[in-house]
Amino acid sequence: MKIDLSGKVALVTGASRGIGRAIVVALAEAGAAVVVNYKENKAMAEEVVREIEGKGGRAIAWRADVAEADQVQAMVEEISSRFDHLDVLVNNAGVIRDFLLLEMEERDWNQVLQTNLFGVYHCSKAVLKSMVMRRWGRIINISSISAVKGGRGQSNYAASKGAVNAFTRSLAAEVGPKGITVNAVAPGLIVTDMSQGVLAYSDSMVRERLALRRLGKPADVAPMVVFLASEEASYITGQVIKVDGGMS
Amino acid sequence: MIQEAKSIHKVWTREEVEKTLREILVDALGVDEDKVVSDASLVHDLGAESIDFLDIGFRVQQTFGVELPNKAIQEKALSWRNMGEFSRILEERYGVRIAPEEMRQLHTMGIPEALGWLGERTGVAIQNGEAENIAAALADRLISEVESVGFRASLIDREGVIQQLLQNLNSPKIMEGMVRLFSMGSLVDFISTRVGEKTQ
Repeated sequence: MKIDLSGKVALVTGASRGIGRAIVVALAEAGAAVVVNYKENKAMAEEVVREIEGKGGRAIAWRADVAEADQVQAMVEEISSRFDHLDVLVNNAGVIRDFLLLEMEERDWNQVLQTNLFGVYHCSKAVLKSMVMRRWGRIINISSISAVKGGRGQSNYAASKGAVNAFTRSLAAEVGPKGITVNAVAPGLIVTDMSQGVLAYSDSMVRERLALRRLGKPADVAPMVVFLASEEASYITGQVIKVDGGMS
Repeated sequence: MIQEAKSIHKVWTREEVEKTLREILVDALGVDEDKVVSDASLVHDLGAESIDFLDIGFRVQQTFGVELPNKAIQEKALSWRNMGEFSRILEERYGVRIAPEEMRQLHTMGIPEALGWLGERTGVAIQNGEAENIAAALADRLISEVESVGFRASLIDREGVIQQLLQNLNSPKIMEGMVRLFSMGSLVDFISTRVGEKTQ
């Protein structure tokens, strides 16, 4: 089966590095025109765009903080004027602020929820009208194994991802009649800039818990997202699919 | 990605509105064209779900430049379910304020029974015929609300509503009546009035 996303337009939030970068590159390789959203790393986002263009794909970089509804709205309007429509949204942007709860400041709690959960709300809401009218759409939320496996210092992050899983199931029920699927992909331990803190002190322990005996790479997650974005995945919705090397 | 309504300034005849709306409903609801008759209720006869109302609303907005009162009706129906109107009428007529928790006890009562409860609870003297008066006042409010969002008063069966209220303040039939406001014919009227076409 060869997945063909040509003619589709995909927005990946937080796509300048890590899992988001691997996803946006894979979607472009499958033929989608892509928007590389970023918040801070302009140079890296532009590098991703060049990489995609170098392979003959179509991409633009766009700065927007997903925690801010008006920035998200402006981004989606810009996409609509440049590409005419938006078919695939990958809510990937996420942050961590790991602290034991007793040492967690309210701002650490809020920042994580604002980006990881409110960002999903802002982006999904901004793209849905167009998807409803076109009777086709894919929303893929990048969750985390943390949503189901408790981890010290991650009460904010785990809460945000657990909420994303619940959001995924509810939204899937709402928009299913319009040909829009909503799924979540829950990666396990993936080596990225963001996960280095976690991996640094628990490397050997986590390997013991992984059936496949290795940590994941962003490229291990991307194919699942490409599949869920495709026509072939049209009968899958409301699911949280773990890509975790057999950790759970 | 959403094209601005190209035809907002077009002058529509009622027949054109009907034909175009029928196409929108067939497309949005996946029903056969011959099912979309004038008195077909979107929910009861054509199987519309909540997301369909948004879909139809987007298309109507795009095509005619008219906003359907989906949300207004939803809010009215909700306030009705919360017995907000009944509570306001009691306050106006008897100067009594009943807490929402207490109002909930009246949920399944008809108006005579609810007034009996009120008399015991507050000592207010209830006149004969008062239940019918209140039912009529409530029905009139319902009708004026329906008119305020742009539907015709004649779509509501006033006598029927009064009888339902006397039996059960929270009759599901009243909610159903509000949902039935969304029929093919009522939407044609609604849109035709707003696009400025004089219907015959």
